[in-house]
Amino acid sequence: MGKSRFLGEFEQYVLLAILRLSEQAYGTTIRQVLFDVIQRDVSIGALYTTLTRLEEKGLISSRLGEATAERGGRAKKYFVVTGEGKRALNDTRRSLDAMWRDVKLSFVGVSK
Amino acid sequence: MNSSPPPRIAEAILAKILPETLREPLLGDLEEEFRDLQQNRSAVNCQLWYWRQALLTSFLYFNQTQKALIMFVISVLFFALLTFFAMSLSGGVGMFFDIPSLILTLPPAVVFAIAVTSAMHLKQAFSMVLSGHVESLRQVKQGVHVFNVLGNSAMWLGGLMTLLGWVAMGSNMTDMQDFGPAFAVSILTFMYALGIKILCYVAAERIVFLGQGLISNNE
Repeated sequence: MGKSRFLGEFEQYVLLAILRLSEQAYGTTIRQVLFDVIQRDVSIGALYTTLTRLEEKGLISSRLGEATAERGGRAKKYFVVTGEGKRALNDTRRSLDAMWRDVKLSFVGVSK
Repeated sequence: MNSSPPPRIAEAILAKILPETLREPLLGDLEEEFRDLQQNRSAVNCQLWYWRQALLTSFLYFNQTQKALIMFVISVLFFALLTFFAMSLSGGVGMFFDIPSLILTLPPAVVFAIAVTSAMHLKQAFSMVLSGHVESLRQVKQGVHVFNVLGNSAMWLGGLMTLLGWVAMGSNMTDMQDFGPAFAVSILTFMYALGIKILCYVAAERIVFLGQGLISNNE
């Protein structure tokens, strides 16, 4: 097994959002998925900071797309998860699963 | 539904602060979401949403893209504080302020710098110092030239105006008791000129330093 790379919580959410969106993953749609699925309303700047970091790590790649009128004539930046990104996600998931094994949470006597 | 454009000031602030590679996609995403929000929110609500996104994003990227500006402002503030401290030690700051002396030095020096180079080159030189971004060696040479002309003109003007003050003192003074205050005011012009020269020297050296990065990139 090669060097495993563990991901932060938000990094995992962003990678999963990109995978869910497939060919249509860019800033606006990623933000929308994060809000619709896990109710996380992150600022566009925070999202791009994470996207830039993931791209520097080689976990995602990007390409500039078409410019449209509703974007003020500006191009979209599409993101896809690289093979290394998918491996990192898988490693993180396996590690989390391993840690959760045999853990039983008891909420008896715990006030809300 | 409203169709007002996104707040232009917020957009301009973001465009200034964002890294060049993110400017187009990020501003495009914001405008797209802004247009979507306009379908079911009030105009004020949409403007507030845009401002919030712009400010949060600017805050995240300010330190990354505006380091040069922050460092330059800190160094100028440090210089100003030290000068102020020295003035205080020498018996109060009031005697060091004389608006006519400053007017005799700074505006003519700026006019000379524009006359020798151009208003565009002057603006470009200041922009290089504040943004820390230079595009070519030609631009570096022009920027250094602007600050050399500005600083040297201020120095020569300061010297000339001080001499002029001394001539006026020599011609009009009858009571030696007036010599001290009159001499102090006349020498203030030269002191301001020296201050301008120091700042111009630092600015020119900063551009030279940025230009060295350009040479090593080419290598």
